[in-house]
Amino acid sequence: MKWWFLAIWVLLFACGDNSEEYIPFESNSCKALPAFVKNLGIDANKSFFSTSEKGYIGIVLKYPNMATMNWAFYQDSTWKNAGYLAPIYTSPMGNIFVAPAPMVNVLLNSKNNTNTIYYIDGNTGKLNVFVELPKGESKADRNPYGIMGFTYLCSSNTLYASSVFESDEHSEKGKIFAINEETKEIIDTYTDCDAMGIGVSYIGGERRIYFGNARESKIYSLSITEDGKFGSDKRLEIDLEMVGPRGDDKVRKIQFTDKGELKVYGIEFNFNLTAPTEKQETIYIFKYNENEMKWEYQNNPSTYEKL
Amino acid sequence: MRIIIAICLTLVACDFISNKKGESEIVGDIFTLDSALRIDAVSKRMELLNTYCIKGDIIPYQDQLNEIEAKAELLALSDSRIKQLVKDNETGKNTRCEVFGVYTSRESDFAGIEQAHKPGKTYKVEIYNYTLNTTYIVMVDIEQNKPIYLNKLKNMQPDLPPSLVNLATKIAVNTTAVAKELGLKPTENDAQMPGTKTSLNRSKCERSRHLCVAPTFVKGDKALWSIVDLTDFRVVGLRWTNVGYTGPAVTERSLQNDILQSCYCEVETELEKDKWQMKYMLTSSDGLRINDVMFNNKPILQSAKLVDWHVSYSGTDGFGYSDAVGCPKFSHAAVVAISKPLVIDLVINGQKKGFVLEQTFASEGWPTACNYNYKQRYEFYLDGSFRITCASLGRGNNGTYRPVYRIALAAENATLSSFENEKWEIWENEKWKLQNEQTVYSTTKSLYKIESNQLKYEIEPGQGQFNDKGRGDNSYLFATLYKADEGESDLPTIGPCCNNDYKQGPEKFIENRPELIKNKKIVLWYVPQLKNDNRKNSEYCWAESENKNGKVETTVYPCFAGPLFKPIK
Repeated sequence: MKWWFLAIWVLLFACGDNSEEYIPFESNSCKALPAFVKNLGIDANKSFFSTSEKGYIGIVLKYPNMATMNWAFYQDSTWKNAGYLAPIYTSPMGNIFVAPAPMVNVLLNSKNNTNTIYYIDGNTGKLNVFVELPKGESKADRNPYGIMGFTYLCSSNTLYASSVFESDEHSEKGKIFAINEETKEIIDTYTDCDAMGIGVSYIGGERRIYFGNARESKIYSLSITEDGKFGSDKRLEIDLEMVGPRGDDKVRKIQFTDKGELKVYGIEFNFNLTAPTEKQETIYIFKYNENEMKWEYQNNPSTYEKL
Repeated sequence: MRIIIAICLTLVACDFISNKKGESEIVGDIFTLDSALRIDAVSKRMELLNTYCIKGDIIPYQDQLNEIEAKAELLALSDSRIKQLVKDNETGKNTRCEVFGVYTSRESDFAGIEQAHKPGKTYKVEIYNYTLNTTYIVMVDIEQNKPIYLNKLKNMQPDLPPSLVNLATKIAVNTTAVAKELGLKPTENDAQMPGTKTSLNRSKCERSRHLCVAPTFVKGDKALWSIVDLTDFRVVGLRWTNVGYTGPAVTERSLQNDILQSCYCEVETELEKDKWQMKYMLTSSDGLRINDVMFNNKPILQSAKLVDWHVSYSGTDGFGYSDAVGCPKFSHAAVVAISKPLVIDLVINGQKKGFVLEQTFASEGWPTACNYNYKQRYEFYLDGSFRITCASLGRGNNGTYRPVYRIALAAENATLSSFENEKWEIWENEKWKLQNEQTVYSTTKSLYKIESNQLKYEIEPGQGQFNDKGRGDNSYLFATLYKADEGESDLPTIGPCCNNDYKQGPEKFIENRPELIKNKKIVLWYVPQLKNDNRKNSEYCWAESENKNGKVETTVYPCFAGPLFKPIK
């Protein structure tokens, strides 16, 4: 279905920064360029990993072909072994973490593997299992999702993964796992929270993990220790309800920009398999007011047209 | 023969809905087929909208402005670039636009804009476009006597002016369902804060993309939200909450989702009508399922449901989707239920012949491109016949739709035959058959026959004979031995999108070792093949929207397909 719309989707990605899973290598302070990309003869600084390219299952490396002035794609044979993928995170070790997520249907994504973190080894370029997160009771018939988002704490090499694997409509059983990248050990788990987009911030001198709830239009935060473990001081940071064109967006991705802004990617989400092409995404920008110690919603100046 | 489905709904009550955490009791209802409320205030409003739309002008603010605000409005509305906002760039037609408010600007309005904020000298004129559901914010510099900035906010709605707050309240208090819920007709003074965007009555119509607000009536410790659509001038839903409710705002989509989820996804509804008895419910991924279907107290079907929609596009090789339809939340559905199952009288040539059980599934934004609408329809006739059908209402082009129906017969010892070479041939083992142009039917237009001690039915595939504009099913029929683990519970995705042959999923229950089905409990899998058409005057599996005097109206061209089961006398 919908091929011509996908073409538009791809074009939109190429033009703006509302792309779903593109991670520019240079944008994150402790991300490292994967060595294998250089070995392929591809300029890593102008390349992107993507899990949402039409016609591709899994993940691809997208790079500019200067001869044709068009995008070219590289995909290792192992990169589609886990079915469709969604979140991506590149670590300081140059590993690219990914997690499976169903796309429109579950033909290539059994519920069973939605709680497994995979990674492309930064040296070999091969896709392997990084760690299988504890699964508990599966609610496969009522919730096709597992891992929803990644973020990283550079000081302790801790990868955070949010998962809603055990949740259903009546029970919020999601977890955020803190995993040491070197040992693959789960060092801490925050429970009973269906987090989707997650991000680490040092705003206000505090080290906190921010997470958008997949059930409600809210962003919460929780302190984290220097070694990556969770505190117990969950607090509401931002309420997105009735904000934006839909008014009930859930937070898919959270980014902290160099300007100290919080960039929030909001989509409609109801734990179903509505096609991603139908989903409108809105980017919300917030700035921290240090005097009042709260986030303030910013106008998007680019939408103003001078008359 | 002309089939008319009477607009006579049997609303199946679901009077008690618990919220997701079971903290409180919530009661609500959603309405689908109501037209604009007929009261004077609505008629005047429609006339105002039509008049300005025909002239191609923006409706000025309908309430009181002070002198300087009026000047700001005049500067905005007399500017040729602002006047152009009435024209829809895509169609060239006029849209419905109205000034909703004129305000002095604040410092924050100028964040990110190169021009400095001039307190008291710059004004914001907020204009709403009903047709495009877009808000325009015009920044006007009073000193320079001109508009200086324009901000276009798609799918955004400004705060309502007092005149529209009053209209929303009038619509709510004059709606029968509101009075019925409250136990008496309320007065306009009974509505609480209908126009503000604060706690009680913030609302939206996300699916219809209409202007909506929720006048709220307090009765004891409960509050009744009435979501009023100010584009179509009607109440679209009602919901009771506790006074002081602090949960998410009650909106069109949240109300639809919660009611469908609680009333139809979690519980079965029993239906008894015209000698037919059955239960039905919405599934996670198999559409609207009917269970334990009986006619005249005789079991006919164990269950029937719509497993998948396989949609392949000829424009791109092997490209398409396997869409499941089902519950709006916590489901495997790619296209979700948006309205309650409807039970409708089936009237042919003025005579009631039975009833229809119908369910609509739709993507957000349908019928715009890349958004989809599927209908499922079960027809039950007074003579014991029944038809299992579904249709696509678009909207993707160059597509072939292959819905996969699973029909589990109630009979324990049934025999299936097909009409071959002028006679009925019994199917000994599991197999499939294609209906195509060469197919020869019995004199009764039937192709299959199912017989047991309990039931005897002929099966008539669609050949364009059902007066529903169907053009023939071109269907595959698979017969398999009943096994509970072969689809009795929800089937997530039975097959890939884009196989152009019999490999639509059910074959996996047959291949390798076809089992004996003669005198056994049989499951039929019926897969029509429907090629969409978007050409003018031959539209099929399609929908078109048109701006008619600023109002978006949709014409649908459904491609209904499915077999008729006729009792053998």
